[in-house]
Amino acid sequence: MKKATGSLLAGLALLLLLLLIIGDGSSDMVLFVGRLHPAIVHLPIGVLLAAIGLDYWSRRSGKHENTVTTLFYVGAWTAIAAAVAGLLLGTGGGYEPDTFSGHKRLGVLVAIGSTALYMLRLRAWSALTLIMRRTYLSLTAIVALFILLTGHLGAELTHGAGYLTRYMPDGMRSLAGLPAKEDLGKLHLKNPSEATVYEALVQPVLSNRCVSCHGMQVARGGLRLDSAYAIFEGGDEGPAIVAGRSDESELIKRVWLPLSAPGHMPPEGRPQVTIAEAELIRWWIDDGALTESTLSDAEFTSTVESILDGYGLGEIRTGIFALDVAPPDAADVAALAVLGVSVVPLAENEPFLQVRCTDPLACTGESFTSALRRLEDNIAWLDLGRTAVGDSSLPAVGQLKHLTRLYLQQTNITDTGLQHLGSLAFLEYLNLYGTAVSDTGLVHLEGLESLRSLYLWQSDATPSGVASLNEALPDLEITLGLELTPDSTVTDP
Amino acid sequence: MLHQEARQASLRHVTRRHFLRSCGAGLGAMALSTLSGLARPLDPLAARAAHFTPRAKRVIFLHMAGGPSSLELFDHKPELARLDGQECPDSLLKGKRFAFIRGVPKMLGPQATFRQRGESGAWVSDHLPHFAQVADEVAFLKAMHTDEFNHAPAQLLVHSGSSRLGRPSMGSWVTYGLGTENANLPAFVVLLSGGVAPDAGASVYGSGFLPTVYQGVQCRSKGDPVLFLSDPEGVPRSLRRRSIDAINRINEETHRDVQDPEVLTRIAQYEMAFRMQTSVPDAMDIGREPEYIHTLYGTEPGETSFANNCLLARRLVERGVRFVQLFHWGWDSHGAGESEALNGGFLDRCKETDRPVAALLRDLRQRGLLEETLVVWGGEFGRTPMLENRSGADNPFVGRDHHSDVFTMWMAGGGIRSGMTWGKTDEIGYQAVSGRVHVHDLQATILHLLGFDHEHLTYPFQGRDFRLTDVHGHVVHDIIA
Repeated sequence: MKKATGSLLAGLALLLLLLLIIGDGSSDMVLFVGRLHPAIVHLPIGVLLAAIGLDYWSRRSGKHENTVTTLFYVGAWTAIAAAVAGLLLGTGGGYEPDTFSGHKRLGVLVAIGSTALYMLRLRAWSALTLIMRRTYLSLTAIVALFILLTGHLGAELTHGAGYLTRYMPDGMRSLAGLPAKEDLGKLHLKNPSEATVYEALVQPVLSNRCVSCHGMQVARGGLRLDSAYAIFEGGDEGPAIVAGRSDESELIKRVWLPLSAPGHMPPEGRPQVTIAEAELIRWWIDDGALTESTLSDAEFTSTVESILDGYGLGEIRTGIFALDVAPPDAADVAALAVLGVSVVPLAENEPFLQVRCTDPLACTGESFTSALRRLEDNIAWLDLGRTAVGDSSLPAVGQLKHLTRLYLQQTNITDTGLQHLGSLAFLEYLNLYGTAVSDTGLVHLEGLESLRSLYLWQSDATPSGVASLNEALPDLEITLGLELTPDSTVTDP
Repeated sequence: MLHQEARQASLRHVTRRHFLRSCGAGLGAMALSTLSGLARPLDPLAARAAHFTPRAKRVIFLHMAGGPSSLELFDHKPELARLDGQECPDSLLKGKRFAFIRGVPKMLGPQATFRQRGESGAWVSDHLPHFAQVADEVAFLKAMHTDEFNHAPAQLLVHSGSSRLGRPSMGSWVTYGLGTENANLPAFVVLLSGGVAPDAGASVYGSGFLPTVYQGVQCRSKGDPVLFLSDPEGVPRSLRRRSIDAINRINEETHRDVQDPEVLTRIAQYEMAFRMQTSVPDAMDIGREPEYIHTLYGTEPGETSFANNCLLARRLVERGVRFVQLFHWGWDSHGAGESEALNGGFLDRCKETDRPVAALLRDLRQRGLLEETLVVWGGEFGRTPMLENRSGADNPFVGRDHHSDVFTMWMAGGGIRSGMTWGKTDEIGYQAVSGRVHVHDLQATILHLLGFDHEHLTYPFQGRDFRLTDVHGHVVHDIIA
């Protein structure tokens, strides 16, 4: 017995020594022995749980005393062996740091705890003091609990987080505070239109797959991938990426190497970068590896678009669509429609409305403007073209703060009316053809930063007025139309 | 006796057979409306929202009936010129069927000179000098393909998604989906020119199994715009109003009884016809256009011409018509006679359409309409790079046979990425090399631009949900801005 105890304690001492001296980086031999960990690790789980269980059930009868002691002996030994192999395996790195350190600590504690239990059992129960008996009993409970926890964390390390709960019914998932199954894999961004491509799509992949070895705590090969700056800075072998050239970017090349080839990243046995993730990063690099461009600015390829669909980002809402606007009140819609105006939502399930006046006289007067005002949050497109609308209606139009398209062609509006449109922050399209608007009125439009199309054919605007408006709004396309007068002819080319 | 008969009559009303016969339609309608999941308003033409915010609000479809030859218009193939007159190698003919070519045909070089145009550098032949100036406005689909090589089925496929009769046309689907913004005009208007009606007849703009209120209304640029619309002599407008009111009341009662959507169609059409009596002559009167617009389009009021129809198309979309369908016949350039030869009638077709098409794009743009009006140009199929010589005798006229594997179409405005080319053909324009787009893909794309998921714009008929693209179609995202 003494000999057995001695060797057990020696094993434990070796484990603790390893725990102290083991560092980062490892040789093939270390990893080879380390990979015995999964083969050994299930022995202590089974044996120790069997020992604790048998001890509990046979405590009264005292029938299996020796068996229990033997089981604790075997359990302690295999626990020590598993922990030693685990420590060696861990030197390979690449594990999720929090889970890994929890697993390591608990595993070592199980080894120590089971050794202690075995040593307590070497004395007869009757020879133990009350404190020792209580220690023994609570220690069995603690070791059993730690075995379960260590095993769970080990599974999370190998199979990925959420392995256990992946197929849990939604009812239980919500009790456990987990998202519903259909939301798994979806990205939930607070403000998709303003999030940058780098933050929303690129860094999360790197953080999940790379940063455990290439981060602040551990930076293998001198490479860190936890910030855009660090990626461009690179590691011992140079920069990780070349903007615009994925085929020359080490980061992509390493991911594309065959799984078993030396240099493949992430290393074999670690959670791999998925095809979709690699494609996202490849696209980002080829697009210039811009760190500031936002999701709403980016031009996605069809492949990237379908990947984003899977992430639940298929439709990135911008402009007014990024706003949280309540649906219109049905009575307000009816009040406008009853005037003979077509009022239709922009799309199903959209709070915004398209309003078109087809009767030239329906959309003039106080009843029309007050009906408009009641829908000021909701009207996005307003078509008053070819009607008798004049300047007096424009103060109400200028209040429609979510207006994106405004049609005033062939109406009676003048420069005076345009001053009311200056605060339409979302206005993208403005049609003023066939009106008496001139360069004087265009000045009022200089603050409309969202404006992209302006039509001024057959108005009094001149090329110089257009040029000065374009100076203020360089992204604005202004169409003056054909310079055709009733007596000019179209020349044959 | 009489008493007994009265009793039998009243009993008949409560029999199971009566219940099934009289209420079947109503139950069916209820079931249909539940199935389709749409609480549709009583007015079948009321404006409705699409699935998502649309890029295009309306469509002008310029159908060049007969199958214009891309090899003489947009698909520049210098290699084909080198092969002119040589016998077609066997490898190109193996497994292929042609409408007319039999035996081993000779290759036919391009019957046009090409130049690159605009900033996009798109190749356009000299047959289209006006269009060449607006080439930057369009996106070319150079590798369109279809399943059919005869006119009627191929036209049906383009317009109804099926090469057989009985399906609703694209304009009908769009009208069914969106309704109309202008209650005074039909939502779907058809304009014919070229002297011959489409091969597949009115079915290319018919409503198929959709309620007939959604079918295309044919308008004319000569004579009465819509046939039988004017009041007969001696019938004043007030009398017409009162008679329509009376008819509608009867129809409303009938609808309450039988719940047949065709009755609603009838009511809506009486109402629309009444309004159209004043609105259509106004919209269709191109004589009101200024002279420089006539010069731009090359229009002559009072004639039936493609140019007039283009100008009408602009006037109609300006007034809120959803879908304007133009057919121009005469592109079937077999070479069997002067009228259908690449060095004959084909050149006339180019002349007739070149200026109006360019004018239409320009005019839509300067009015701010182009960016939300989708203009589609194309035929029902393409033509072979081989010479078709049906008789085998010496023939001063040259032509090409029908070819379903590849042809060019273009789209402009309405959310299309302008100044681009999608799809590529081989050195002789015989097969696609990349970017193939099937007719169903084109339809899916058009519906997408109008705000529809083409897989969800459906109508239940004979036990299943039908859609324009049936079980096919992929949106061509690459040509969308």
